[in-house]
Amino acid sequence: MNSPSHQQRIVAHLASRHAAERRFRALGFFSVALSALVLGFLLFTILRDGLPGLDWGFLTASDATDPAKAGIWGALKGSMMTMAVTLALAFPVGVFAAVYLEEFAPKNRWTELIEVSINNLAAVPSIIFGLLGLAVFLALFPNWRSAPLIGGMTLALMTMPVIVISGRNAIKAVPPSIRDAALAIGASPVQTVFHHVLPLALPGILTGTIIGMARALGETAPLLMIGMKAFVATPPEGFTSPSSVLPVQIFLWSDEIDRGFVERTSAAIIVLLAFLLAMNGLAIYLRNRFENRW
Amino acid sequence: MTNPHELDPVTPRLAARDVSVFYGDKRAIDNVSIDIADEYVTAFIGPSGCGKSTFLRSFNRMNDTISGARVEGSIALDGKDIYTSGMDVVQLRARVGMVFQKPNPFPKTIYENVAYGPRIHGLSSNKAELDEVVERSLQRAGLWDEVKDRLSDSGTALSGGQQQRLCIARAIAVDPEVILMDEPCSALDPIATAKIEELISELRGKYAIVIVTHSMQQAARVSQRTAFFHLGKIVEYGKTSEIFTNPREERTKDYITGRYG
Repeated sequence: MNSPSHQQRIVAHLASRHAAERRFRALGFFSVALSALVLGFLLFTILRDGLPGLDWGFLTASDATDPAKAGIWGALKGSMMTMAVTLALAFPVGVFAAVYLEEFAPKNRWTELIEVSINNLAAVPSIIFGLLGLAVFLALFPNWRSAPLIGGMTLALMTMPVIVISGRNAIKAVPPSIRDAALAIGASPVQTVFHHVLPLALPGILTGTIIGMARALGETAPLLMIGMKAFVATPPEGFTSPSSVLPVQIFLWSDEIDRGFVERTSAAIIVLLAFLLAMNGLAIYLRNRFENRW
Repeated sequence: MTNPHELDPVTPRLAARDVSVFYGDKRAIDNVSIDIADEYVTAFIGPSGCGKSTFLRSFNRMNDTISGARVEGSIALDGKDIYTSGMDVVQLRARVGMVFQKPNPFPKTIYENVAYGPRIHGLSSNKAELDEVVERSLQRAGLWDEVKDRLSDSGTALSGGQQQRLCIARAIAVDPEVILMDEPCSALDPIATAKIEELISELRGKYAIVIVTHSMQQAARVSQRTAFFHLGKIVEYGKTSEIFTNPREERTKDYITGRYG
């Protein structure tokens, strides 16, 4: 079987196999380098333009017509409050919907229809959600134009399907043997889900939630639709007072004619990126915490 | 087939009558009747796909969790049909425990694995009582000496054999009347298997034990009653010693001597 010609054949092929290996590695390295380069360039220009303007005054002041006095605090606070509303609405609804669809719902045409709708909902352009928020939420609460509450509600519509989809995948990934074990010892279906399935799925659910939240944080279009583009010179006092948010503030400043706003814009982008990093960091921390619990 | 009533004069713990199990349109178990007594370990043997695991899972209604599965006929636990609407499945599973083919401890601590059942069923009123139940269950499962100093370690960090004994301890902790074992040793090495078999012999008499196994030697070693399944029916049910030395049916003989299966 292992005749010399047999070996020769293998050796003859070796060179081209190794070459293929090297080619793939080079291609992979090039791809990584390219994306790192783009990111590096972006960071470099933004830090160069923005860092000089990033001081305590910028972080504590709100929007102003004079670029030297304009600050980010109003928009930052508005973003935080909007995100809080989004999270408070989208997370529980999304997780419960995912649990119900995955663990309890009968598999029939209705649930299939709901499934398809949720998948489609996740792909709907964000401006459509803005129109929905304008037509429904602002029609119901006309006095809350530009408010973080309405903004959060609109973004929650957008984030919820993302949480449902990632939640379902995370729940699906929990081995069935764990459910068997719990049910066989006499746990009720709800106990099985809350004692065993959800804790195991939580890291995955959190990852999906953060992806959805990060998308919502950077979203501008739907918030423009519900009026969060007004000039707001004071930080929002409550969830129903007029407010701006970080990406909209960046959009507004980038449109200013005054050269002084170029620095402000870059500084605002730095704040937005830092906010995003902090959110991702929190998600990674939470995920590791839950994964290491046992 | 034999009449199960003639076999043992004792009152059966479980009595299955004309049980058929369907997966969709497929009939996995066809009109099976059998009595399971407390005093014995009952082994279900038969070739793969003969329906023995399916049948086992109908004793604690784990087939309910499979969509499309349907059970006909009656299975009585202590004389009460478990398939009537009046039977609470949660209560049933506290009385009929189960150990699975692959060890499936919860990814929680060893202590939590055993304490979970008593806790959800409200079986112990305080921590001391729960500690006691955990210790007793682990002792009965022959695992206490190996884990008593690391009860807060993860159950999944144990070896395969230890995990399976942990699963047995978890089942014992709620003090069931019946323990169903679905090929409990098929994922274990010979030494771990020997320990589980020893444990089964020790548990005999305290619980009615039903074990599905692919290993005929195992059935011969641990059981006193054996049912041979083929194509969804019981071909022969009787004393293990008789089944293995003097089977009445040709098919049983062929299977035991290794002609097929």
